[in-house]
Amino acid sequence: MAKKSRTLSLKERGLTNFEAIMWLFTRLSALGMYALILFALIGALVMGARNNMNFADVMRWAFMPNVSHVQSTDLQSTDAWATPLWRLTASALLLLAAAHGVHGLVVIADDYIAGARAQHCASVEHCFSGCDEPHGFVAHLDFVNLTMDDRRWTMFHGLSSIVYRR
Amino acid sequence: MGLKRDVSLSAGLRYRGPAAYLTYILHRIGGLGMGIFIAVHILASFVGGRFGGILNGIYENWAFQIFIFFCALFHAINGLRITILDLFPKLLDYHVEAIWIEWAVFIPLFGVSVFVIVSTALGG
Repeated sequence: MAKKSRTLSLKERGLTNFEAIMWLFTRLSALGMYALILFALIGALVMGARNNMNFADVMRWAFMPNVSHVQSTDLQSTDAWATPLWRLTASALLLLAAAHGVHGLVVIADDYIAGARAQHCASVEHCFSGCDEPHGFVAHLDFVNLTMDDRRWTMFHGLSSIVYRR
Repeated sequence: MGLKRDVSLSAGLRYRGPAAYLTYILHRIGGLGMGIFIAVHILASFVGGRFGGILNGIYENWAFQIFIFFCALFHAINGLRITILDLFPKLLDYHVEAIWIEWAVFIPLFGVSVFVIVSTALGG
């Protein structure tokens, strides 16, 4: 049964409500940030990072291509690092990261402010079987979110003992 | 009412789980660490002045840079694994192998970075 729900396609997981859309957005924004980071990394190498910066400085620039991040390096001039292109890249990265991060904080908060909703999820069988009966928000999230990484359900919704035995 | 758990808190804290548990909790710590400290860093740079300088002084300290780089790098690499496995669920059959690959990528990258940060800090 566990296998069945894990191999459902995204469409079959029922992307209908806000949480499901945000689940997908979290993944896609991660890929988007990777694209921007790679772009900044390649840009840094093209602009001469290889001879003037150490590895940590290059990574600092790649994760946020803001000119203040390369001012302490051996670069002769940082003019090329402060163009509108890089400001735009940094802004896009910040915007994506903020949206991704704020939703992440909401998800974490939701784990610790569980209350009555959490109790809808009564058994691991229910969660793994693909939620035949909809139980609102929590059941839906279980259905959509249950990957090997979403251990929070096993930790905070009374499922630990079952995972323990595996 | 609070949380309803079938296990005690101490049992929950001792829970180690399979390989995915460590990456799960580090992903969460990394995400929270970045969310809090990068927000502070951006606000401090925006506010500026003496107060902003003090906050950024802490942030730019080499020891803190190691922590925040751990958060960012681990969160990024682990997040890529989650994204790949979630968007291609058939790969979930190999989730343990994926975690080993993840460590094989993360440890050298982070190790080189820590070495560079520390040697720069100590060597001037």
